[in-house]
Amino acid sequence: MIEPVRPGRSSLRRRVLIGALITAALLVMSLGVLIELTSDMRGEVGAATNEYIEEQQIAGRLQRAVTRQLIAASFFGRSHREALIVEFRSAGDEAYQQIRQYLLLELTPEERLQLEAVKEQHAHLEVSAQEAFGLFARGHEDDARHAADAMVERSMTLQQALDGFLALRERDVISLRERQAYVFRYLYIAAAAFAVLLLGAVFLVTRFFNRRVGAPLAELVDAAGRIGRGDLDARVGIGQDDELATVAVSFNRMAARLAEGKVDLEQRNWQLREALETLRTMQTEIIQSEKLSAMGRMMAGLAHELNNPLASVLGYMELLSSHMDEHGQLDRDEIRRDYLQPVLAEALRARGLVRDFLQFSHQGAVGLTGIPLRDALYMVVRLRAYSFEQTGLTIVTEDDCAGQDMVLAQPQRLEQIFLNITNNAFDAMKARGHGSLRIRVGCDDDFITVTFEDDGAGFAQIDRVFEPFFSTKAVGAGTGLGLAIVHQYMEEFDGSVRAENRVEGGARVLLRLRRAPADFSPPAVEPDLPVSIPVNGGAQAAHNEQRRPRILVVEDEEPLRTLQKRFLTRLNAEVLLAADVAEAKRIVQETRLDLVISDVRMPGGKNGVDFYYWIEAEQPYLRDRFLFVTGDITDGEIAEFAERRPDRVVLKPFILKEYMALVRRTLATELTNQRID
Amino acid sequence: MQAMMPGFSGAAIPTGSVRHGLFAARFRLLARLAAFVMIVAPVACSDADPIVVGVALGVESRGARLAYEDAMRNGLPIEIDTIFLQASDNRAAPAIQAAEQLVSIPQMVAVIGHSNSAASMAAAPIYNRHQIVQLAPHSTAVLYSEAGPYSYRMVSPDDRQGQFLATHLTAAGHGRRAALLYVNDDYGRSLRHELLSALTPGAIEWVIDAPHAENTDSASIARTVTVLAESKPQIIVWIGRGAQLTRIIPDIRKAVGNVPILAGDGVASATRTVETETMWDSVRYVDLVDLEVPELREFREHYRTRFGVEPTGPQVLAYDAMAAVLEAIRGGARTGADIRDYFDSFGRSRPVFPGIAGPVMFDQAGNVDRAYVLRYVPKARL
Repeated sequence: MIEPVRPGRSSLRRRVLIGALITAALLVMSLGVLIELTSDMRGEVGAATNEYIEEQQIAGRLQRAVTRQLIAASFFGRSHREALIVEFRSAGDEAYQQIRQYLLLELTPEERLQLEAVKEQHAHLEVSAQEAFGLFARGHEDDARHAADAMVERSMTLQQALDGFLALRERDVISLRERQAYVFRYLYIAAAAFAVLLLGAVFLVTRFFNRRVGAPLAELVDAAGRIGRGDLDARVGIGQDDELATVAVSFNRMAARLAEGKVDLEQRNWQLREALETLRTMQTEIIQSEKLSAMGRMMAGLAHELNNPLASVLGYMELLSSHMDEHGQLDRDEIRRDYLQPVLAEALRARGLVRDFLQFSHQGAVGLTGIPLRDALYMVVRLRAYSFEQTGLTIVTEDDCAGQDMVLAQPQRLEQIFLNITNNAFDAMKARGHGSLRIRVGCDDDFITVTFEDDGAGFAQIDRVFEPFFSTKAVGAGTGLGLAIVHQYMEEFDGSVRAENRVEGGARVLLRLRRAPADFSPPAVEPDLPVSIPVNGGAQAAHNEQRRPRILVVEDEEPLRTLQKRFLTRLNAEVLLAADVAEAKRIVQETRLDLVISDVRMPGGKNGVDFYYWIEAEQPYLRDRFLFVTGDITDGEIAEFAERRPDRVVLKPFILKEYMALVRRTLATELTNQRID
Repeated sequence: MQAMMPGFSGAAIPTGSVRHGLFAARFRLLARLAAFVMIVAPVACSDADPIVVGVALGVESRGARLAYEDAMRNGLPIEIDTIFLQASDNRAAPAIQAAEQLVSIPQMVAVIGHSNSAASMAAAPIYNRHQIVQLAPHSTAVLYSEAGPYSYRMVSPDDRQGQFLATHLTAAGHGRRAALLYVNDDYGRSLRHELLSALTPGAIEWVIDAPHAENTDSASIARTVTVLAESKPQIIVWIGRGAQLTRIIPDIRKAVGNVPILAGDGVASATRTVETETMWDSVRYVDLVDLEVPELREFREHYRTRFGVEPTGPQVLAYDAMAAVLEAIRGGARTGADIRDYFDSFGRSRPVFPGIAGPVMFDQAGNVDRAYVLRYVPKARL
């Protein structure tokens, strides 16, 4: 309820109402006057016209009757027949009736007097005629002629009187016409004046509304716009009318309160920003802690996995050494089958574990790409399988997608998601010493669903499972960020996650990952190359014989340096070795090379990346004949290079066929520039 | 208050169309609306002007004067002015002038007049247009019944007088040869028509059926008398005014001797001279009031005391006419319309008005049903 601004201020509605009523009254009155005047004049003209026509008819009948009387009288002078007297009287009655009709009309005094004169003259005419009739009938010819003469004189006087009367009536009509023109002239002037007054009234009304309504509203709109743009100092003037003044006061109050609210809000915002900053710091720390916790658990599995192949390698190699000591003469096939192939298999297994770990630990950018879901899932399964098995737990997987499992995700974060859920299941079941984690992959048109079901106790507070830092684990056993991270990453993937408790017990986590579009094709799988490369033979051998490729290997680790030399020797290459970057630069400047294979991390402050940039600048012909050999592509510049040129990076530990295939492919490319000497 | 206006022979006659005058008045009225509010409204708050009653009669106006004086003596509820116009002329033109003069007087609500049918009928449209009641004491023309809603009269129309004359004409035993001399105006034509209509065809042999003009010249009188003498009528029917009969009666007596003359009511107010006194012996005329009845004895005495002569029938009727108008005003009527409504209520929502000549109740045409009497000219009128 808005109170009136102040007593005595006028109401716009009342003013408008009064103004409208006055205007309407004036319009109605003016129109009424115009209609009255015009209708009166029209009516009078019509009535006068009708009267004039009627009078003309009366006059005609009167004249005809008098003429009949005169004719009858004239003939009576010669024949003295009684019928002429009857005719005379009949015509006289007709004339009298016509005069009576005249008298019943509305006449001016002058006209009435003139008509009375007509009537009197007619009476005299009849008297004279009747006298003449009597005298003629009795033979008094002379007296009769005197009477007849008098009758003729009376008839002439009668005609003059009648003419005079008609002239008066004609003058009336003319006068009426003149008055009509006069009145209509004034009506036109009045109409013009009325139009001017109306325009003036419209102008005044428009001006009134513009000043009292339009301008205040415009000011109000402007002020509202300024407030909308953040200028809370905007205020409007208080007008003269109740309604708009009340609105203005309310608006100003609202603006003032908004300004106060804004100051308060800014203070609260600043406080919140500080709190948020603190919270973010804490969150980062806690996330890092959670990652470290997860990594710690994973490291245990990694160590176990590495220990197993290392134990096998050590064992086989010791057995081989003992075997060689014991037998001297060695059977090549027996050695390859019973010793080298198991060692190679275990070494490859160790290499896979290391690569998986490196891939998991890599903190890549949140760039979504199409990746096979199973790669991330099975990597995690492999990592956690040992722990599950050691605790008496099992992991069971079901895949209904038959390889059609390309999802839109970021690989490391997807692995993190699977790892966190798997860890939660593990933690929930490990105390029991039995149970299984069932992972089922399902497909539909747009999504791939991954369902994790465990046989644990289920979620204690299902509505808080995705809440950061909420954990029901024992103190120190968890950070409460596991499922929160899952939720966050799933949102980043435009997917969803749902947690629920199973009816039969245990927890269920459902992931819905969006399928990758068709243009997200998985990376091409390199065809396997043969491990054994013939040194001599075929066209390649012929080519090599013409000029042996000269390859520089830069490696600070001597065993790896020697190993690579032995690999490359199998290509019939001339292998030059350098233990550091400085030596490598010298060789490059002195020798024309076909390929440079360089380690990334080397002592002396300069690494392989620096060396590559030097090559690009000093010997650009070798820019496309440069291979990195590195054990970690997750770090710094080499990660960018590997992402840009994955075909120019050899990951340690490498196997022969991969190494040789990459070298051969690189040697097959043309040299882009000549050597700079 | 009463005033006597001079004769109106020299009075100015308003010119210009009445219709145009109405329109112009309306136009001026609209233009002067503000002036009306500022000037007329305060005036309306002051005391009203006195009501005016006009009288346009000849010698008959004495009756109206006496009635007014009697009313003044008895007291009136409001101030009433009277305007007496000497309107003894029987012609229409002077009547019109008189009427225009009367309607121009503010607060005029009623006029007693005029002195005969022609004059009354000529003036009637003027009074009706101004919504002023016209009360004719002794106009008998049939057409007066159609004069308008504001026109009344104290007598019956001529159709009854025609019947009355026809009865006496055929019953008198004077013979069938009759001469009809009528004034050629509304009165004469009307009464002649009613007389002839009332007679049985062939009952009377009209040896003369001649009109005459009011105030005709001597040559015309001579020609009429010549024809009259040769026609040898056994009775003369005179439908004209007493004054005209007074002029012509000596010649009639010379030409046809003491032939009886049966006259209409127009002779009732005739004056005679000593020289012609014996010529009137055989004249009988229709009177509208029986002055011989006892009920009028006191009035006759009263009248004689006031004016020194005996009253005539028209004078008695003029007395009753004025008394009726004053009674309406006494009863609250203040406008012509009020008086008209009051008149129409006589014998209906109000008792009939007790006139000295008999009860007064107007019919739809404004006529009073009144009996006629046939009178000899009394010597007392000399």
